[in-house]
Amino acid sequence: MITFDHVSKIYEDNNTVALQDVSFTVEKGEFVFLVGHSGAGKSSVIRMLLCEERPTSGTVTVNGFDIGSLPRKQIPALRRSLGVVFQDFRLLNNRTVYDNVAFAMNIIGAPSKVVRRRVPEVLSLVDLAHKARAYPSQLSGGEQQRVSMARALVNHPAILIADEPTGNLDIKRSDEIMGILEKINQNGTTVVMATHADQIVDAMKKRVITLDMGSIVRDEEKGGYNIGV
Amino acid sequence: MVTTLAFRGVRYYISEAFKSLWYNKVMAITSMITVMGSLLLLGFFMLIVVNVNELTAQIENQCEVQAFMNYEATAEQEQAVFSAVSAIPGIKTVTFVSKEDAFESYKASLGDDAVVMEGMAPDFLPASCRIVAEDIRQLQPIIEQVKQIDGIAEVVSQRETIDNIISFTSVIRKGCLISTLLLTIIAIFIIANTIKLDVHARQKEIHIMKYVGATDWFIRWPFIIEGIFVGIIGALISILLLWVGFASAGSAIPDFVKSAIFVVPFGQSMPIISLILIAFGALIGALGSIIAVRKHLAV
Repeated sequence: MITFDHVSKIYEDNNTVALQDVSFTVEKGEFVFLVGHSGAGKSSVIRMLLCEERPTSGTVTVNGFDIGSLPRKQIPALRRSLGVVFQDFRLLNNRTVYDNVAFAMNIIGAPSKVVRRRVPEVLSLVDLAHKARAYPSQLSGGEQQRVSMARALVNHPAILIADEPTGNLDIKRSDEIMGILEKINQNGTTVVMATHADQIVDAMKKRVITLDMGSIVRDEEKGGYNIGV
Repeated sequence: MVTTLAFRGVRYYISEAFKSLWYNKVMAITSMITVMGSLLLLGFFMLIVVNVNELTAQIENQCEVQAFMNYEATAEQEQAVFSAVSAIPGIKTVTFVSKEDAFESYKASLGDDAVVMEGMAPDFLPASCRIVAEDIRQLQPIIEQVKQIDGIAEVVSQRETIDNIISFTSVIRKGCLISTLLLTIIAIFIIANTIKLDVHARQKEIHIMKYVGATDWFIRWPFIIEGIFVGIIGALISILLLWVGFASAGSAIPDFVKSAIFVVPFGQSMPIISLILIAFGALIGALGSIIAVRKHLAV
């Protein structure tokens, strides 16, 4: 599903090394945490998965797309094969919950009949069916994040990428989000989640990849949150 | 598959464009006024050009050269000269004016004073040919050829008048063309700037769309439709103002002045000018949108 093969990323403008010789593979159906200090390289990995950044050397393959050589025109196709959840939710504030989720389906040209059936389905999966007509500003942070998860899931992505999805939420709301993520993973979706939330990582007992100064320092099955001091 | 997707897309784009127009009412109205102002001037220039063109054509048709024959020429010689003149290429019409015709028309032009011509022989004026050229710019070479013909005494033309008309109309045409080009460019940039504000306000939205996997065209189309709509509405208002303006000015000026200024009646030139203005409005709006969105799509 995802392969990083000796990937390095050097930002030319200030010569910062963001990633150095990073290699790992994520198989279909896996649940992987990416942990590390701020600036350890988590965001660079996430940005490469979305083709926001390209590797300086090495190869990155996501869902069969070669990120290093992916033509600009192919980027939307890559992003449609992924579901993405951000720390800041990134919802369209002038549209209702329903329309925010439907938007991801409109982009791929889904027939309105399918949209009308699928959107309520995925909204009830995140337990927000009753808020379909509300606007994002009328929702709590946890609810907004669940909307963004519904949007990420609506097109049945093979991989769900979550960048600090609980970063703005308290523990109770975070647990709700993690519950949904686990449910999604059990249905066969690969989940990659970058996080700082040590309690969550420790509780979930999933694979943990730890980054430090742009390199992988640990890659453990059923690992815990241990990024060193 | 591709067609149904495209068709479904069109409906989505149009509804998005109108939603966005509604959310950005003030901006949309500002753009409409800009387009309206530019197109109003453009329409005004086009009316001028249409009338100047028609006026020139009419003057060109009336502009004739008179070639006088030798006074002593016999009727056969006059006929020979007439045939030679008729054979020159580029001539639209040649009219033969006999000595008698000349005498009669001269007498008629004197009116009551014709008494002074009492007792004069009806052949005291020379015969001549009245020549109208197909194209006023071909007149000079024709005159040169007529002068070469045996039996032609003198060629009289309104050369200076003709030259003045040609240069005057070409100045007006060029002036209107240049002003039109400038106005169009200015209008495109003002619209681009107005839509840019709109796009800028929605930058976050565009970025989100890109993260969810929207293609550039998927994001661009609603803005383009918005621009085209704004352009067409602006054009319609400018057409309305041109109509109202000319109708009220029309009732204020006397008919004979109007017919001198409007060689082509307003109602006859306006339908085509309206179509051109609408097309221009749509084009300006679309180009403005494309320029405005361009920068924000690189995510």
